Amino acid sequence: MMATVMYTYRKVSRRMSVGAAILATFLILIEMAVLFAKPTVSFDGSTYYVGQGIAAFAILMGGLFWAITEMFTRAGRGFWTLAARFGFSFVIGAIFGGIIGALVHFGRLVIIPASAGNALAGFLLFAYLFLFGCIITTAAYLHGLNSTGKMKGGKQ
Amino acid sequence: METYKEPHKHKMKRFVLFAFLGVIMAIAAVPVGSAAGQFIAGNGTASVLSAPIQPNYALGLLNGTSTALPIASTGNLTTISNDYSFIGKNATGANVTYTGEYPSDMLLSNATMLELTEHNVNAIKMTVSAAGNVSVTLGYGSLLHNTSYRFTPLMIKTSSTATTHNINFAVSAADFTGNGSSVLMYRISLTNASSNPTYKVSVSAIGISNSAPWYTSSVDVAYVFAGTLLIVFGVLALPFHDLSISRMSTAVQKSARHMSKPSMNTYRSSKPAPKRSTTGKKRGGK
Repeated sequence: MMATVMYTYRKVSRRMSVGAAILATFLILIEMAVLFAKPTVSFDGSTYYVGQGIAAFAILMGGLFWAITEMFTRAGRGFWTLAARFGFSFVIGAIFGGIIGALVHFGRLVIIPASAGNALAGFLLFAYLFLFGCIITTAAYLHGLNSTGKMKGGKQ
Repeated sequence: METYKEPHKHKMKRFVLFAFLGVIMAIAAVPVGSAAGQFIAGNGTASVLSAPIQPNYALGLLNGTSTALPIASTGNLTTISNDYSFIGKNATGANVTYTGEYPSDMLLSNATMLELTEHNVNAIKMTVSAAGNVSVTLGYGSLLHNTSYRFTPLMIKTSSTATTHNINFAVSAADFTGNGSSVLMYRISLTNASSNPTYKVSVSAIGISNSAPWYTSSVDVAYVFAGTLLIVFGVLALPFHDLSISRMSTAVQKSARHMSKPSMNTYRSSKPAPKRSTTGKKRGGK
């Protein structure tokens, strides 16, 4: 078991881009702060929104779109490649995710009960953070890999 | 030891599949779980908690301090005197009524979050008898030493000019899964408070009259279910380990072929199956 973990770590760390790894770490920190901070509420007419619920889904979908973008692009070199890929895909994903988070009231259903003391809702928040960590780690890993398509020199 | 190496493309398919499954689970599980109590018990149409749901305390804010005052409730109708209106202070210390905000009363009930979830309350109906516009903020909180309070708003409804306002709040069981000892609170704002020295409030909660433990726990079950599945989907989405769904299906086909008659295998393609990389190639490739 330990040997497998060490093997996986060596294999992954050899391929993972440093800039993408830094970006992924900061995104995980931001998502953790969003999920476990004291929720702020706002009213739009008679509807009640939790800002953190919208932001949590926006960051999750932004990370997922970044991972999908990295899936179809070749291995990135340099700062501007990462900035362009991350910027565009994250913003597009965050728009979709923000709409989803506002529509399904994730904050009202999960974040507010968790902050009010429901430990099971807190468990769901931890699992949500874990899923986000998996997605964003995959995105950072794929930044150093070539795409799956028939690109010249692609290492499958 | 398995020496199979999963192709990169399959890993990407697996990642997309399980990442989207995780997102769908995060979206859908808790609304479905909070609605499941209603499905199990049929439609909750009984009026529950008729006594504790009424406003029992009014919180008035006078001269910058807040004091809790018990108010009389006869049956399901509570009469509130407007003496408890919010009055602010200006910079020099004189009492003024807010021009931008209307006077409002903070009313506390005796219904706790625990009772509301036990009865799976899905609607709270209020009748406010007062002239003018009425705006009601539903929320929960607690009274601290009769002098201050903690209030978390849940939703706001506004009723236009009338003498009797029927205000309905559609709530779900997940709204009440917080701190079990918090009570339901109402904050009532009147447009023309001067023409309403007293007004009447009547509240009823719609839910399931017989409270069994498994009605209420459906939301909590959804939390645990969705949380476990999110962790499992996260592990399955990671591309760092080898896992082949197509090989699993091949294994199932093989066992089925082994167990059944040849005539049942007509669905199989006539082409031979492509060779897997397990037989010839070594791990690592180059």
